[in-house]
Parts: sequence; structure tokens; C-alpha cells
Amino acid sequence: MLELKHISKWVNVGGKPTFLLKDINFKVDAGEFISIMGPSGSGKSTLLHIVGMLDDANEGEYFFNGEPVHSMKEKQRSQLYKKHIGFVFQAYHLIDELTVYENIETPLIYQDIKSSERKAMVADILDRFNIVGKKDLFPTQLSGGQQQLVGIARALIAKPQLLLADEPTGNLNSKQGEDIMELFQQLNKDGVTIIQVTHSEKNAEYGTRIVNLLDGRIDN
Amino acid sequence: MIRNYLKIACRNLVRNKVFAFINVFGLGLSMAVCLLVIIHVKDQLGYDTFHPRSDRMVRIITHVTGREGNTYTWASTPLPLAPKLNAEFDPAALQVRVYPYNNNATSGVKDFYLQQAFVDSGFFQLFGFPLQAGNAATVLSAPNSIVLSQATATKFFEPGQAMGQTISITGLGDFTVTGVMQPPPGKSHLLKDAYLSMSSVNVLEKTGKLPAMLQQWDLTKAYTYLQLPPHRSASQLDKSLQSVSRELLQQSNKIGQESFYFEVQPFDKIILSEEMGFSLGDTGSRGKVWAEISVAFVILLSACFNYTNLSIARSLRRGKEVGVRKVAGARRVQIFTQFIVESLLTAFLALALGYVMLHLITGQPFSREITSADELSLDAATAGWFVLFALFAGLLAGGLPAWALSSFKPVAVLKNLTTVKLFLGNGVRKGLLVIQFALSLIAIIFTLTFYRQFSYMASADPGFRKDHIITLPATPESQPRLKQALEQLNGITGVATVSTVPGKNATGTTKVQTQAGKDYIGMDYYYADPEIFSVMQLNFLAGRPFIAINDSLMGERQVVINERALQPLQLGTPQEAVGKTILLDDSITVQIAGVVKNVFHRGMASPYIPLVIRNKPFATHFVVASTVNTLPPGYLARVEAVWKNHYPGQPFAGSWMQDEWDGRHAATGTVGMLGFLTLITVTIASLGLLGMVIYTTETRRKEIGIRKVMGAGVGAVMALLSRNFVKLLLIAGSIALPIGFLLGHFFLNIFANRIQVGIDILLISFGAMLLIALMTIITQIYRVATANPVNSLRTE
Repeated sequence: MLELKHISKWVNVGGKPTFLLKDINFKVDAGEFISIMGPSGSGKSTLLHIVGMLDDANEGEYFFNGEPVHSMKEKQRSQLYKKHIGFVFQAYHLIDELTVYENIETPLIYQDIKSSERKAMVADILDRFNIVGKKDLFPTQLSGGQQQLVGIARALIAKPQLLLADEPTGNLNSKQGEDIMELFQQLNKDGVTIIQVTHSEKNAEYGTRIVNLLDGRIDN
Repeated sequence: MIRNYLKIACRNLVRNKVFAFINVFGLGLSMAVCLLVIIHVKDQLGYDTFHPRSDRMVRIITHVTGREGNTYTWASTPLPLAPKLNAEFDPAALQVRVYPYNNNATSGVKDFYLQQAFVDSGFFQLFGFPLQAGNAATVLSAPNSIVLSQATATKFFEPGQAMGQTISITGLGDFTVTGVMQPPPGKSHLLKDAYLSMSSVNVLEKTGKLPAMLQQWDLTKAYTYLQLPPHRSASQLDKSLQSVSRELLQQSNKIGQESFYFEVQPFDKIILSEEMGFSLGDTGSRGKVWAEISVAFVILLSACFNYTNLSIARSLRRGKEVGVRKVAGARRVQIFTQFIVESLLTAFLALALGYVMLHLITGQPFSREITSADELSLDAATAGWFVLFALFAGLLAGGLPAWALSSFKPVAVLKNLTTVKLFLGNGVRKGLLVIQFALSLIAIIFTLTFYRQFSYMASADPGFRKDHIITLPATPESQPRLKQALEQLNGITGVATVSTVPGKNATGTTKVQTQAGKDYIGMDYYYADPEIFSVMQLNFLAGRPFIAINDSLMGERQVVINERALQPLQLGTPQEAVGKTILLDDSITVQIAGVVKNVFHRGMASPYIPLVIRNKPFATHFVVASTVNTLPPGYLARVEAVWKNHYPGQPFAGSWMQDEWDGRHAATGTVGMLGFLTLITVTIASLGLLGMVIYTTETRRKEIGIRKVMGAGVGAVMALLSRNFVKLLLIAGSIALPIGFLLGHFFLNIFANRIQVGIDILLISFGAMLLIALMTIITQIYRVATANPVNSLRTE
């Protein structure tokens, strides 16, 4: 599904380049559930952002479904990720001014999907995640676990091929975390490719493959 | 999509009530001023838009170079110019002269003061004034014809009865009503109560009822309008005018001393043209309109700064939302639109508020300086302009923050908000605040200077008596009897007659020389009777009042001049001047009976001006009465009763001179308006400051918490938080004080009698601004400084 070839990313600190990622070669097939692990500062999030096309690499090539992402313009790239990739964040990042329903609806609005169709899709996912009763509440009225559930629903609403999750359970207690992980496993079984960044060995176990990062290199 | 934008915009306004209030209230205040200006400008532009073929119409104006080298533009032209152009330019050109003449008119039963003008017979063909009765081509052909406006006709006669009736105009004689106008379809600078046929003037001049002007190349008496015939251009007319003025200059002996030439002014350019001397009707002033627009724009800009400032300050909070939306697939233009919708919503709320405020302020006296309340009706075009204006204001206020916010990169804002580089840093935000306060301070200084200058002028001594003086309008014929009646009234100490009440204007300017052929000077003049000197307490340096002449067949004999006239006429000392003769208007030789002390007869704004007080029967229009100092309240009513005996059924227009003087010199209306504008500027700046303080204290809550845990006291924290703001205020002060000083200084230069922009005005203004600003800051800062640090340090 996607392949990174010789990807490097660095920032200049005091005139010297400091590598965040160095010569990463990384391939993901459709249907995989990959957990990226590693200590703080090892480059996990940076890798996830590059895969998610939110960030550029300084060097190397990135193919998504065979298309060269590294040579695309900003606009094409955003077209691509808006269609195929969903994001889940550690801090949920829901929009406080919008209700649960509207938060989930947001990506559909930006994909110019018709109002009636949007309604059906959101109703469907609310039902699937068992949060129909919460649809008119605002994020601040929900618990952390519920907020993350909304975050995942939002990420999945546009039916992406790939779900990227940056420490999705980082702000949750262990019971809530387990629920989320089980949900991920179920989604993966339904055909969604998942890449998650996690600190927790236990959560990593839910995946089909673990990638360890250390100082910007894949350490296997 | 747009519904979604509107929804979130509304929620954001509701959620941030304080910021929404600051934005809507500030913008609303400024919009009230802008709406007032829009209405006024629109009203001004609505003048004279209904005339047919106005693209082919021109007015002829005069450029004059005075003997001192000053140049003036006059809207007026001499009466003989039109016949001259008939020969020199094109007899086919339709020309209409307008020769204003204002006096009372009576139908035998009713008597009213009418604004009138002699006009050529083509008037109703050239201009688009529709006639209710009468034929446009012939209505003013015959001598002694008069066309009345509908309003005037209904004042005199029963509806439909006006045609063929006789109207007698004071000083001129009988005129026959040959036409009645419909109310014109729009406003016009040419609108009068009645139009008289120009063909009447010839006879009136021959019988001495009008001064001989038809053959006089007097530049100031009439106005010439002209419709260019087909195949003739304005530049051809200009050429003819040039040759006419050249010829005139060669004939006259004014070459080298005074020069003039005529010029074509397109009819469409008359409204809101540059200021002209001897202007006809209300043509508006381009300078004044531009000044109004600039003031309104500056105030609007100041309010927009608030919006921009607060939006950018809050962008750290909004940044997360931008990031999430972009990750969800939003393009930049969509984010941009969302924020613009938000600012437009604010602008339209402000427009609504501004409209309400507009109605509140138009009732106040100061707003009459700009517009009158009857113009406030909201037609579709005005509403359209308001909406356009709100759109403009919304874009102006929201454009920059929308651009900045939509530029955020999602990774950066979602990872760590505080590391995001704002498009506009602290520097710009502080700069905007400084500008707002500098503007406010300049406004305060200027208003205070203005107020002090005018109250100084109101209380200053002009050199003549203005207290306990009653002025009454009176026709020359009834003056002797009115004088007599007043003299018998208890409390009256003296009665005099004068052509114009001193204190604002002279009756006119006349040419004065010691002998024919010598250099002349222009001198102000009044006509008066000898009692004027005692009534108004004009003190003689030498000589005595002139001896009155009561026979209208006798010419003028004696005059009194003021001290200021001695030097330019080289008359020596006051004692030497008495008994000498001078020549008025090249034709009237008079003897100087006395010399009086200089007074500010044109009001305190003008310097001492050479003045000649003349005596001529039937030339005075006012009765001036002095009274004792102890009068019962309501005394004016007794005078009114006496006056009404002579003018039954007419509205009483008498007044105390002191009241008129105060009203004119205190300029209450202008002071009120300036005060109002200053109040708005200061309020908007304070709102902006309040917003910034709230924002800063919110974001520094944690820091304050830590400091308090470390042992900082309330005083120390307050000093810390207010230090930066006080610094900004000081910077604003150091910019505004010199500018305000210079502005006030230059403004005062136009007054002959003026105060100084003293250090006290600067200190009071600066102190007032500091006080207002500190009061704004302190409430917020105190709240944060006294808060329990446990609350601000707790993390979720």
C-alpha cells in the first residue's frame, strides 16, 4: 500500500543538522496493523506525520498506492490524504465549538458530500460506535474515552484505507485504552490498515507487526 | 457549507461573550458615525440630478486675483456677460442668468419673507423644474411676471387660485403670478421661493428701485448658466470667455492691480465643488465632505484594529481548530472563508447596533452639524450602501486575521501551540494599540483646544456693548414709529437702527479713496443712524456722530470711520482726520464726522478691519435697543408685544444680542460633535485595551500562579502585569502630544484672537487618557492578581 525509501528528516540546531529520521525504509501492505514503538524523541511521531503527508521529508521517496507523494504539490497531496487517510490524536483534538455530530461530519463537509448523504453516513457511524445518545453534546461534556471514540469515528467517517493513530490511548485510563485497542483490532479485521504510535508494550501487542525506532532509525 | 460557517461563527460569538461585545460594540459605535456620513454624502450627491441634458449644461465662474496677489474663485459672474456671449460665442446657446433678490412679499392680505431671484425666460426650459401651471417657454417672458413654488403659492392663496393674482414685493412693486411650480423631483441649489422675470429689471433700474447692474461688470451680483448648442464644445466656450475677459481687462483701469478671467464649470461638477466665494444655494463643500469621510474612516479603522488585534491574540486558541480542520481535509480557502464569515457576522451585528445608535444620536444637537433627522428615512439605495459598507468593514477587520489563521500548518499547531510563529507578532498588536491611543489623545487635545478657544471668544470683549441689547428686524418704512414706541417702553435706554447687526458680518465692502485717482482700500460698512454710537457704546477718539439726513433725495453727507482705517488712507491722527473728505465707490464724497475706537465688528475670529459707518435713509433693516441692567424676567415679551403692533401676524424674530453672540461664538454644536467623536475614539481604544488585557492576563495565569507560590504579593503582580501597558501608553503619549500640540497651534492660527495650546491642555489630556486606560486595566489585573494560585496551577 505504501512504501518509504531512504527517508531522512533533519532540523538545523545551532547550524548543525540533527537527524529526526535517518534512512528509513518502510513498507506497509494493505490490511496490516502496525505498532511503532520507541523511546521519547526517537522519531515516532515524525514518521507518522510523514506517512500522513502532514509533514515533508528532507530526503527520500514516498509512494502511496504506487503514486510518488514526494514529488506532489501541496494541493494534490491534501487531495490524496483527505480521501485515503484518517487521523486519531492523543489529545483527541475535537473542535470544542461543535457537537459530537458536527465534529464527525466535518471531514465530509470538506469532501463536498451532499447533506442527505452526510446525514446517513454520520448516523451509521454513531450507531456503530454506540454514541447515538451523545450526538448533540459538546466535547467538553464527554469523558476522555468517549472523546477519543468520537475522534476515531471522525477519522473513519470518510472510509479511509489507512488509519494513523498517534498514541491514541495516551490520555486514557487502562480500561478505556483496552476498549479502544479492541475497537482497532475489530476495524483492522474489517479491512482498515492501521499504523499506531504507542509507548505501551501491551497496546503494541494488538498489532500484527511492531516497528521499533531508536534515534531516528528502524531498529529491528 | 455557508450554513456550517454561520453556525460556528454564531457559536464562537456566544461562547466568547466579552470579546464579541468588545468587537460588536466598538464597530457599532464607529459605524453609527460612518452611517451618518454616508447619509450626508448621499444627500449631497442627490442635488441637481433631475435636470435634462445636464451633460451639456455649464455654469460660468470667475477667477479673481486680488491686489495683494491672493486668488479667489467666485461662483458669480456679471449680468452683462450673457448678452456679450450671445454675440461672441453663439446666439443659439440657451443662457439663463440668476440674479438673487430677497425681500418681503405681500398678497395684500399676507406678508412673507421670500427667497427670490430674477431669472431669464429660458429658466424652466433649461432646468428640470416642472410647472404645475403655466407654460415653461413663456412663463417668465413678460416683465413683472412671478413664478411661485407650490409651497409659497399655498401660503398666499387658496389651492389653484394663484394664477393671475398680484404679489407685491417690498421695494419693487407689483408682479403677476404667471406660473406655479410643482415640488421639484429632487434637491437643487437653484431652488427659491419665487422666480421673477429678468425683463422686469430694466425698468426697475431706471426707476431706481434696483441699483444699476444690468450694464455693470460687477463680478459678484449674478450667476450665468448655459446649455451648449449642438456641435459646440465647452472648450470653444472657454476660448470665447477668454477673449471676453481679455477685452474687459484692457478697457478697465484695473490692469496690474486686479485681474480676473471667466471659466466654464460643467454643471455636474457644481455639487461638491471646491469652496467658492459668492456661492449660490447649498452646493455642499468638497473639503468638508472629505474631512467627514476621513474622520469616519479613521474611527472605523480604529474599531477594526480591535477586531484584528483580538482575533490575532486569540489565534493560539483557534489554531488547534484550524489544524484539525486541515487534517480533516479543509483547504486554505475554506478556512479563510470561515473566518471571514465570522468577521462579516460581527460586522452585520455591529451595523444593526450602529443603526440603532444612529437614531439615538440624530436627536442630539451636535449631530445637526452633520445631518438633520428628516434625512434618516431608509430607502433601498441607502440600505444597499449600508450593506456594502458593512461588507467592507467586515473584510477590513477580518481579512488579516483570516489570512494569518488559514496559513497555519496542522503539524505545527497540533503538536505544540506555543511554538507557532504568529504571522503578526506582539509588535504589530502593540503598534495597533499605540496608534489607537495616540489618535484618542490627539482627539482629546484638539477638542479641548477647540472648546477653550470658543469659550474664550464667547466671553471676550469685542469693544462694543453686547449685553442688555435687544435686536429686532424692522422694515425701513415702519422704523420711525417702532423706534418711538420702544423709546416709551419702561427699561429701554436707547434705540438705534442699523443695516446689519454687528458681531458676525458687515453689511458689505465698499471702495474708499481719499480722492479720485488715488489708491483705494476696501472697507467694511454699515448703514446706521446717529443713535447707534450711544446705544452700542462705540467710543469716539475724535469728532462726533454724523448728523442724520432724513430726506431720501439728499445724498450721503457724513460718515464715521474707525481707527484702523486711518493708516491705510493716510489720514494722520484721529483729530487730523475729522473734517477731511473721502470718496466712496468712486462717486460719493463724504465728510468724516468722527473716528471711533476699533471693535471686533465681525466677531472675535476676525482682526480689526477698516470700517466706515454710513448714514442713508431707508437702508437699515434692524432696530437695536439698549436696556437698563436690571430687568424683570420675560422682558423680551413686552418688546415683542410692541413689535407685533407694527407687524401683526408675523413671527417675532427679536433676540438678545448676548445670546446670539454666545451661540455663535461658543459653537456648541461643533464642540458637541467633536466631544462625541472624541468619546467614540477613546471608547474604542479602551475597548481594545480591555480586550488585550483580558487576553494577556488569561494567558499569563499560570505564570502568575507560579510567581504567587514563589511569594510574589498582589502589588508586585499588578505592577508586573500593568508595566507593559503603561509603557505603551507612554509611547502613545510621546507620539500624540507633539502632534496634538502642532495641530492645535495651526488650528488656532485662523483666529485673530486666540488662546495658546498651553502645557495645561496637554497635561490634562494626557492625564485623562492615562486615567481612563488605567481604570480599564486595573479591574482586570486586580482580579487575576488576587486569584488563588491553586486554581490556575491545577492541570486536568
